[in-house]
Amino acid sequence: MMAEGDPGRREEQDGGGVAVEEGRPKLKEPARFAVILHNDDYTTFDFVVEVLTRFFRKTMEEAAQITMKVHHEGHGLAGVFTHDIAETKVVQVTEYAQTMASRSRHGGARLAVFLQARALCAGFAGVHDLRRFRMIGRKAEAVLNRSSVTRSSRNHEYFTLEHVLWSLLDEIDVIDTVRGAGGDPSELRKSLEKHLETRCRRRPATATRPSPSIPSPP
Amino acid sequence: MPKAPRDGDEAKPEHPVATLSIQRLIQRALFHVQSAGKDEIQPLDLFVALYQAKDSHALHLLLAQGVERLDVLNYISHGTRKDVAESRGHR
Repeated sequence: MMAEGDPGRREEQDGGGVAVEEGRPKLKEPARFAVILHNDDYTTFDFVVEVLTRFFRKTMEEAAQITMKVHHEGHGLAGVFTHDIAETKVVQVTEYAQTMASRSRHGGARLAVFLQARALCAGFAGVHDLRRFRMIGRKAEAVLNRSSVTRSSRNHEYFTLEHVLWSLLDEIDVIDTVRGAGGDPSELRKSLEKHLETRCRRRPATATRPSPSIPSPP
Repeated sequence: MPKAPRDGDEAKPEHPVATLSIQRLIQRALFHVQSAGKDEIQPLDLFVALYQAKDSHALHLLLAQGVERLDVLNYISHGTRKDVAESRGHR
């Protein structure tokens, strides 16, 4: 639009000689998302407490407090996560609620779905199907398997894209591509390692429970 | 009913561990492979599919390294290296 005429004009204004380049837009850390429980007239107090302890790693006291808040104020904060994990938790809870409702273990009370979600079954079934239909190559399958192993050996709660990127960086094609695209594979691996070590929530060990607080940014 | 000790619950693998974005990643790679008429998903297809995971840290770290999607596609499809392209084209 104004690309051609602009530099000359600016030079005049600046008194000449100074090249001005617009800065690149600064890269922002991915946003974090809050999972919020909303009140309804069907879900029992106990069930909400159970969900909070089971899926959000709250202690009984914390869970009871949050549930009271939901009851009195209409909503309460279950936790803050990356987009991916927040979304996954919502689906997990919703599915759990539906399973429980159909089993009607809660005295036949109708459990309203108190969180919106799509009826998606999270899991790894997709890959097995793909293998059955020979859609996934041997190498790509190995990458996914290694990612999954990385998750369990680090005792992370979820298997996420960062684990996939981690094992992708063992593939020569990917290393070449990163390099060809102007990146430094070993730097990338370092920053990824740091992320996996510091920012990923671990599964609780049997004795201790990890603090439910959000890991603070480095 | 409130459950007192949680250790018993922890023992059984109650929920799946792969997040939804893993599923989407594989789906996207699959769509790409099908529409490009290729046989099967290769590691690079998974890598390129990462670029659609907008809110992820994986993509954030890639971009922080200056590895943009366009650079990746240029290299994969035409073998154009970013450093060479820049020194030839812009300076």
